[in-house]
Amino acid sequence: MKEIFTVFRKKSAWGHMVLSAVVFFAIALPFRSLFTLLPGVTEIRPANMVPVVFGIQFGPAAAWGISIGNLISDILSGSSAFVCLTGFVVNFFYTYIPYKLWYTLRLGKEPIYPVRLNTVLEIVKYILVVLIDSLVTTVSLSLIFEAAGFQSFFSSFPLLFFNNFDFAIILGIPVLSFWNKMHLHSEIPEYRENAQFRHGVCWLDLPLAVIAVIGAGYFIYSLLLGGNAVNPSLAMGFLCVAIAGLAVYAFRPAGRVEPLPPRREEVKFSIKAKVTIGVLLLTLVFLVLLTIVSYNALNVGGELNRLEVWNYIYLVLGITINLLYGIAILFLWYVERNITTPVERLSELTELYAKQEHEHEEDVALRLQQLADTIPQGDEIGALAVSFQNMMSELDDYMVNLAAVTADKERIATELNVATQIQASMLPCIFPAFPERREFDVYAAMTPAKEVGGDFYDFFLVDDDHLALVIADVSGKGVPAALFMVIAKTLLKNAAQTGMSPKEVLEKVNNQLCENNDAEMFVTVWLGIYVISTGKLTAANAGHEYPAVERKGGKFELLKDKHGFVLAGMENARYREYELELAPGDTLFVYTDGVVEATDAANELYGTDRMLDALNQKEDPDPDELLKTVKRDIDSFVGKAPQFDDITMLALKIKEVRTENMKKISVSPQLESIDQVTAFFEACLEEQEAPVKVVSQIGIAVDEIFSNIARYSGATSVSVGCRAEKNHAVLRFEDNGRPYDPTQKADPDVTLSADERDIGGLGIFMVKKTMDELTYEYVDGRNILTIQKSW
Amino acid sequence: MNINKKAEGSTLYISLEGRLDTTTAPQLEAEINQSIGGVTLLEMDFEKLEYLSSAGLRVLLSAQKTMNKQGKMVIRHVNETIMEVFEVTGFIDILTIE
Repeated sequence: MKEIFTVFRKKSAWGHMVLSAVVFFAIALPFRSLFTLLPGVTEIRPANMVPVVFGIQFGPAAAWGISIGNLISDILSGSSAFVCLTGFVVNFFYTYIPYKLWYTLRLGKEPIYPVRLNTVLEIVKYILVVLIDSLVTTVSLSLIFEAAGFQSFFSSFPLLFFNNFDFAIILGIPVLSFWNKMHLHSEIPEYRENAQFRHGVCWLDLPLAVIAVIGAGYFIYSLLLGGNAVNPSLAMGFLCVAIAGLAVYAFRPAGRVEPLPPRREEVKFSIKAKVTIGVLLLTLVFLVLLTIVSYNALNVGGELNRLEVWNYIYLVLGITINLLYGIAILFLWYVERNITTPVERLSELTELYAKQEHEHEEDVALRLQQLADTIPQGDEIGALAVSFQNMMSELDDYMVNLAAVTADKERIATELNVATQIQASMLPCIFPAFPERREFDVYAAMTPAKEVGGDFYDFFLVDDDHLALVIADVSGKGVPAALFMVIAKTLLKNAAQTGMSPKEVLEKVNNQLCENNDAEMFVTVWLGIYVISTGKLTAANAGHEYPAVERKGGKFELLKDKHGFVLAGMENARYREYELELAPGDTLFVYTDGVVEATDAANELYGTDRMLDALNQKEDPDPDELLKTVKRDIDSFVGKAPQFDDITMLALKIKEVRTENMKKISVSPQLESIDQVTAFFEACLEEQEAPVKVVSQIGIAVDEIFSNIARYSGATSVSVGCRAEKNHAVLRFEDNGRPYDPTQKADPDVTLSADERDIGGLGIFMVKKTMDELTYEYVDGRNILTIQKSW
Repeated sequence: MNINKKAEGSTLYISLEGRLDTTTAPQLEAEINQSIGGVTLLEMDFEKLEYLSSAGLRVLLSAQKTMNKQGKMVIRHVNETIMEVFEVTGFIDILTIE
């Protein structure tokens, strides 16, 4: 009730009111002059759908608009005050009742939703609303006409009823559906909690029933009396009852309106709505044709008056419409039951399935099954549901599978990554590799083609005077090659470190590799052992590429050495070794076939000629510079073609400054070697005629230091060096034992008495005191202690 | 290194020749331990000793500790190098050098 007035608190209500009035007029006016049925009373009124449709959509504001519009129209056409007033009230309720009915009526268990005509139930509800509204309004209007003396209730009722009902049905459904599609906002009544009116019909709906009963009773009464008798005072009485009833009905509270479920909210224009519109359009065309045909047919004789003709036509139309609607609704219900609802469920099913990761799995499985069970089987949609379910289960299996496969793949990738790192860390990769060795410079690099490669290089000092160089290429690529490479590299290093010659190393390693070589892998190796003191390189080649040698000031040339068979190819293979003198300034370059067999996009090989050109590009380069030049040249030659093989290179350059003129000997790290070491230093010092006292002091120092190394360092190799000049000597001790820096040792307290004295630490203390300088370094796994003494 | 040992009553004379270092010190230690019982004066002659290292100092310290309990130890004819060692290590204050 309150909303009739409070609605104007919203600004939009004024707009709705004016809009309703204007539209009402705009449609009514042309028809009023063109299709007048009862002059001054009524005509063919498609405008009659306006109150119902606008009422449902906009509520009280539309009611005001329509009733005021009608009032103005009545005043303009000079109607009596009675007609104006009662017409105002009846038209108000004509618009207001549909709104109220929509938000109070509940069909079945369906909750009350804002106006939409997307389901059969909603269409049925709409028809019901229109029927009740038309009935109540028509009864009231017919009573007004009879009370005012225009026309008998009996003769105006059917005409008016069908005038209201037919147009509201025919035009209302498409208009509301269209608005719905446009997401037009519907006016929704305020709901107040009131247990009495919560559900269905309540006693405040009674007035509508009373009015309907009055109408029906008065119609039958008039029929029995012969039809056209007019009884204004009786009609007036009934009219008063009807208006009072309408006034009471205004107090009917609205029901609770539920928001649309999200799924329905998304559907803008449902299949049902489309089918409905289609059926309605067909109906409309059919009705227009029917109207024209029946008007002409009925009017032929001219014995019926206009009113009777239209009454008749309207009756026929009303019945036809209801029949058609009945059929249409049955059809829609069928569509809804068999197509749209299952499709909706299917879409729910899909969504639920897609979202299931966020919920508890068991719950979802159960709900999915329940949903699937509600979709009827036996038709195409049922088949779709079944295949969808199959797809879901297959997808589940696939996902499980995929997860496992992906995890596996990731694990392998990680492992390969680690393998690459392990492989990289197996090759010496810290450069300069021997910073303390000024006699030579060695540099190497490998660029694997895959994650792990089969190429490798190696270099290491066998002892202080022997440098071993290895470059090798394992057949094949990837993990098998890498594994074989590890074995080959380890065996080669182990064998070379025992001090064997290259030939012996290759022969031994060949036999070791041949054992259990089921994979039939093999490896080409070039192995050289360079004697630093003499500059002599002894090398052997097991099926590897020719080394390239540059003599001081000359050019790189291939050294066509004698090849033996590849390692691991044949048991007991023999290898030949050869000697090569490397003088200061000479450079040796070894490489794998990845260098010479690098191919460009046109499949042309890089080749040894290009390699030699690249090697000779710069005069007297350092090894690292040399390798980088060659790599750059290969890269520019290859361009964008993929790299097929590992590219590995190693270069050794003999330096001009060979030594610090230091004499060196290697001794075994035992106390028994002290005499040998002392004799070595004495000989060195005597050459420069060092004073006896200095020799003695150095003797003490050697004793202290060497005994320390022999006792505590755990070294397996010790070398000592001496360089004596006119009045200066440099002594060096190198061992591969535990890192120990004697210069850091705290000095002992030398002021204590004999009984308090502990002998520890005195030795180094004495060395520090008697020698001029004592320096310690730890380089490449070796303790290097250098002593300087002048005299 | 040569070790010459001579006992006269409770006096023990030891003269060393060569180098008293890591390899030879254990010999001297053995000789002294063998003969030091009942000795009240230990006289050591370093005239022909070239030098000694910390291993030798250890033996001397041990002998000095023993002789502190039962008598006296004297070292004679110490050369410059060895004297420097004694000075550097503070042994000059511990030993009796004549």
